[in-house]
Amino acid sequence: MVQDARRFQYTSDYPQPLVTYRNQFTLAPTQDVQLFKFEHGLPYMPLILVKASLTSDFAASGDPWTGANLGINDAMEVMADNKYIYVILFANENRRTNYIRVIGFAPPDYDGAIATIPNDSNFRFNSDYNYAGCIAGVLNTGDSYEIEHNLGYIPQCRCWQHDEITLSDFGIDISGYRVKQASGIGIPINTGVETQNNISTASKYIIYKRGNEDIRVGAYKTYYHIYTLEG
Amino acid sequence: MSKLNRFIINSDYDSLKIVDQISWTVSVPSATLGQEDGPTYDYNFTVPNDVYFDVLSVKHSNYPNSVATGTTATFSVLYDSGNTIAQYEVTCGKTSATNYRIRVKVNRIWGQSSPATTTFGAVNLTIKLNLLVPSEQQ
Repeated sequence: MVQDARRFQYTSDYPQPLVTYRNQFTLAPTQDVQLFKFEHGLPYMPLILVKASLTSDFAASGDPWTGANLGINDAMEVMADNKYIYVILFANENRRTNYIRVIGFAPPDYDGAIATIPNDSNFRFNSDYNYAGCIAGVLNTGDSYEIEHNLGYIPQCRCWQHDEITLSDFGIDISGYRVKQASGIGIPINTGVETQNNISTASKYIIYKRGNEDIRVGAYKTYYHIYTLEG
Repeated sequence: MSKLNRFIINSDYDSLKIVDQISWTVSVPSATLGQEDGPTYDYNFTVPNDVYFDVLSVKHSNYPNSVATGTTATFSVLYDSGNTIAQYEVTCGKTSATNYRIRVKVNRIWGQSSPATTTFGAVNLTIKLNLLVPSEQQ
C-alpha cells in the first residue's frame, strides 16, 4: 500500500494527465477587440492550458490573464467548447500581434479513443524528468463543493469551469470551459472565515467555494486535476 | 548517466514533465487599513530550458492547513463578515528566454466606512511553483 504518494511519480494508482492536443496560433488583430476562432478537430471539449506572448519565440510568456497584468501580452480571454478554441483579444489601439500556445487534456468523462499527436517536441516520457500523477474528475455543478482526496498532504490542483460569454458585437454566444482564473484561496476549514470564489486544499479535502459573482442558471460542470505535488 | 541507459516509458502519448520546482517564502509586513492597492514582491530566477506551463500554490502563515492553488493563486482572507479583504495574488511568467518571475501583489480592501479590522498583521507567504513541460521546438 502506498504510504506517501509523493514517492511514486509514476504508478498505476495515479494516472498521468495525457496531453491530447497541441497547437500554436497567431493573433493579428484588425480591431480593438476581436474574436478569433480555431477549430480543434477533437471529438470532445479539451481542458486547455494556454501561454501567451508578444513574440513568436515566447521568450517572455505568461498565462493570458496574468501575462496581461505583467505586460507580457495583451489582455485576452481563451475558452474551448466542443468544436472551437475561442480567443477574445483586447488589443486596443495598439493592435499588436499576439501568439498563444495551447495544450489540451481530454476530460476525464470522455470514454472514446484518444489519438496520439506527432512526437516532434519534447513532451514524451523519459527518465530525465519527474512526472506528476493526477487524480482527474468531474462534478456536475459549478457551485461550492468538497472533494475527498485523502492524499495525506495538501496537493496542488487546477480546475476548469463552465463559463459563458455573450458577445453581442460579434453576434455570438460562447459557452465553453476555461481554467478558473480566480483559483486560489486557501481558506481555513475550521475557523468560519469565509472566502469567495476560491479553491482550498487540505490533507483530506479540496474545497471550492463559489463567490458572489452572477449566479448562472442551469447545470454546469467543473473538471479538476489534483496533482500528486505538494502545495 | 548515458542516455543509452535511460528508458522511454509509454511513448505513445505526451504527458506533463516536472522540469523544476521552486519554493519561495516572502514576508509581507503589517499595514494599517487604507492600503487598497498594495505593494508587489518579485522573485526572479533563471530556467535552464524554455518551460511551458506551471502550477502554483501559496500558503498563508496564519492558516497552515490550507493553500490556494491553480494556474494562478490568490489567497484571500475575509474579515468583518466579508466587508474587508486581504488578498495575496500570486502570478508568474517568463520575462525573457531564460528568466522567470513570481510576483505577489497585496491588496487590502475594505467595503464599508468603519470596518472593525484596522490593521493587517505581518504574514509570511510560502509559494511553491512547479514548472512543467519544456517548450515546443521552434
